Amino acid sequence: MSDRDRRSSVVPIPPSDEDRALFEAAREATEPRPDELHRVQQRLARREPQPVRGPRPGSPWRVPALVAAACALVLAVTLGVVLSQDDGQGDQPDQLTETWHTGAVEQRTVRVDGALEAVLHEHGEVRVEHGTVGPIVLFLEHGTIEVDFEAAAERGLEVRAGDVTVSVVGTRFTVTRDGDYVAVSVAEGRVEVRWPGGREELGSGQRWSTGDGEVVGDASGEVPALADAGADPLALAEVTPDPRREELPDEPVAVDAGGEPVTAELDADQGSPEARLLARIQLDRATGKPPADRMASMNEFLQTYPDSAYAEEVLAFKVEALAAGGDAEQALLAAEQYVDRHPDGVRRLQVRWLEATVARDRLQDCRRALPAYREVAVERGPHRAEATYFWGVCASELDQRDEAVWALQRALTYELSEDQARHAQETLDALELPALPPADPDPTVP
Amino acid sequence: MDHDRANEEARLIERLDAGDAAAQDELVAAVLPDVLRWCVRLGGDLVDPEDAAHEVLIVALRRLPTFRRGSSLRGWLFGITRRVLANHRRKARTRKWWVRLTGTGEADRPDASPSPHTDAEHAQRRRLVQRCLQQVTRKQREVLVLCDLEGRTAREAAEILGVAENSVYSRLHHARKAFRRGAEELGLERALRDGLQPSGSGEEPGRRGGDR
Repeated sequence: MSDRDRRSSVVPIPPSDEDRALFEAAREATEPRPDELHRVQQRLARREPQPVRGPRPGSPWRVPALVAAACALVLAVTLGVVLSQDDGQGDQPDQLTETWHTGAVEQRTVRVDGALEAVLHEHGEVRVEHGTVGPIVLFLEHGTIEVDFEAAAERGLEVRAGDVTVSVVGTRFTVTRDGDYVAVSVAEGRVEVRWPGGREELGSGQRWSTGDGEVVGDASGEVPALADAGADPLALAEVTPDPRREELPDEPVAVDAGGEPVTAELDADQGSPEARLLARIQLDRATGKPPADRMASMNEFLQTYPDSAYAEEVLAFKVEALAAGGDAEQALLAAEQYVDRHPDGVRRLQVRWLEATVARDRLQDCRRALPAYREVAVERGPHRAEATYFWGVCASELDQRDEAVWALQRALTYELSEDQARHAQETLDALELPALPPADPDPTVP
Repeated sequence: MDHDRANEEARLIERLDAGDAAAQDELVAAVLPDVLRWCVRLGGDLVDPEDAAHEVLIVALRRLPTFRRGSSLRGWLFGITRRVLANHRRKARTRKWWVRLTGTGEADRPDASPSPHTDAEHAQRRRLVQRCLQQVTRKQREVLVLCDLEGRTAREAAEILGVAENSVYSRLHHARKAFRRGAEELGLERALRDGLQPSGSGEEPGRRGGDR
């Protein structure tokens, strides 16, 4: 058995003791009894036909069911005649077509005939024709749509983006369209992409676009997170787009960057004190102002605009600044506030990573670092490998042997630095040594 | 051990291909416990697991010639089980809807009528666990069942489900949280520990994540 085999054949993340007891009880409660096994075996041995549940002979509702079905048939035929007379075109009626739009910072869930849910990202437009037979077809006019297809597996699905058609076999994938440019990224499963010049089949982790026209990625490799495909869209340096900027004229704005020689030109938010303060915070950060000097403006923002759409971003900046040079306990407190106030915040993983780093590096407190490492390690992100390694290290220091072995084995399947990989292997070797048997009692001692 | 079992099953399939009828019973005996477990744990409390397992095996035996030799038999069977259970759940929901509408027809739970084989306490515990499992989304529930209830490794679960190993880890993390939440809401731990009546035992479970 190779090292890789050994690493990946471990039992997944060991549950906590409390959960283990719960699963043990659940397993026992749902374990098939011998008499159940015996009955199924007997039915198979007797060659009983496939079980059918439904109206049984003599069932009291059989007659009403037939009557209702007949009524429904008559109604459908009548309705069809009326609709065809009104329409006169022979095409599908207009009310069967539905179009979804999204704005600047908006995402919407697109539902089709109760069989499909897809997320339409910002600045998107997608059209769907309801009530058609055959596969569900989404016409992507522009923007990005993210589809988790399995729910609609019985009907099939196609996404048409201009001349490009993406047929789906059962998968999770994303299609982006901007004019003639179309890009397809598959997170899980397989899709077939057809365009006037040919066709291509994509597997997990592969991408295709009209620009390069060739498949990128390795279908057999690990599925990369969509965020890993390009620049990290959740980076702390990113400025959150503000929909109000579209409605106001752009003008140069003078910003006092704390005496630093910074020339900045901001767009339309010049009239908003909130946006000016935010710009100040972002510029202070971009110019590398010492964390202690940046704290006042961030605290002012959080106190003045606690419900602002940018409060999440500023609180994350505050954690970052405190982690970089401020008080460690304050940094942990700010991280805790972030997690409480923004449980689904886009910078949550980054904040948790900072929290774990501060707890372990500056306070040497593995107990406080461990939960944050666990969370970062099980989600896709830039710190996943290191978080898994430190998870194992911390668990080892806390004498949580099974968890440490699991995490370190897992970490060794990632790209670690040379030192970390060596240390992980050494720790693992030490943890996996069998315990010494108890010494025999000395017969000479009474 | 799994390797030996896979070899043994491969040999049984070879014997079946060669026309040995006795091999069919041996193959059924080998896979039935797993199939029945999946039906109990993934089907929910509206599905009769015996009916479902019976159908899975009938379908599997009928379609055995199409099974790609050398691939994972467990993975293939799991796919069939998943589709059969989806059909059974849909039929059960339709049946339940009709029973409510007309006030007539058979009971909406498969094992509502006691049989000589039914241990009432065991059935109650099982139903409660099934309801907790229904609080977890289908994909996560599958991973939870394979890894935590059946003790399979991440690689085995990934092979059976046909997904990347990392997806197993991610789903398992979320599944445990959802299951724990469901267990707390429905009073599973207390019921399992004390044998007490679970909270809301006679009512329809809150299907936040059910059958997704």
